[in-house]
Amino acid sequence: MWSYLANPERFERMARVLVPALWALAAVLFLIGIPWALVFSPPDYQQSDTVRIMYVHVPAAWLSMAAYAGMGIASFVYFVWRHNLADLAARALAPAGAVFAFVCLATGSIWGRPMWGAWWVWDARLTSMLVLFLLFLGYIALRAAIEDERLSARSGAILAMAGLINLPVIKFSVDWWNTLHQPASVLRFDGPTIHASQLWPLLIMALAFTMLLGALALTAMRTQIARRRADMLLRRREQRLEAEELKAGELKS
Amino acid sequence: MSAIADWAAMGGYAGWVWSAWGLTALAVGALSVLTVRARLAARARLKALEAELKDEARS
Repeated sequence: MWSYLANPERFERMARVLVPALWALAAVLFLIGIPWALVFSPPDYQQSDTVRIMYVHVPAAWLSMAAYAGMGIASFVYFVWRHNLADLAARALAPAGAVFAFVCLATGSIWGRPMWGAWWVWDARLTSMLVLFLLFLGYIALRAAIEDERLSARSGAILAMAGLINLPVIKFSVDWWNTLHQPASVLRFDGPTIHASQLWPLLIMALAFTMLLGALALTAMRTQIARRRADMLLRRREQRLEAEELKAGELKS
Repeated sequence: MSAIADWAAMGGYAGWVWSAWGLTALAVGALSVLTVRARLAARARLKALEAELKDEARS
């Protein structure tokens, strides 16, 4: 299966159809989700209208974790099977994951001030989420710092795979430790505890952000493919010019 | 208070709600614009290079 997906031309053909479809789906879902979340969903009986922050905070949290999971899996595929496309996928997911993690932390902080009375507390959920954000930044910095493409890809893959351990820590931090952050109310073994009037707009917003993440990641992969192809063409031209100069020199002498 | 002003006041939490949503829109919007711009620039560079190489091959 990996080999089938790893063909860049096949990927390009697939992306050409998929990317516009994902942008369009994201736009439609946002058009439904935003008014639902901001206007039609009811205020919470405890949090009042600050509950509306949840409609961007929670999808951002889920998607930053999904982006990291994708990055970790793609890194594993690259590390084991050496498929360049898997490395491109990991690299493409990092900036989007970092932005979603940042949005999660920032909106959580904005919600925390009026509800908890604090912008930030060092509880296990918040701290592990901050670690995820730093892992994204570390991955991006590491990839940018190493010029050798193969070394950069391998080092990045090791970091991304090692960081996977943080995902269950984030998810179960609210169960394992006594945190100020509330426990899960949607992704629970015994089903969601959140009321349907808030669950549906939340799911629509999460789906909209998911489509957006897909479109962004595939677009970033296509960017990297185009860059690599351009670099390869330049290298080939340089080699050809060098060979021609050498030939001309030989003919003269 | 009109219904719209009432809604925009967000039960007295307007500053918190709108700043969270505004920040999200700004961050996600900027990411989207940068991602698409990078793609367009990379594609334009590749096309220009391919055309240049074609010309070189002809001459």
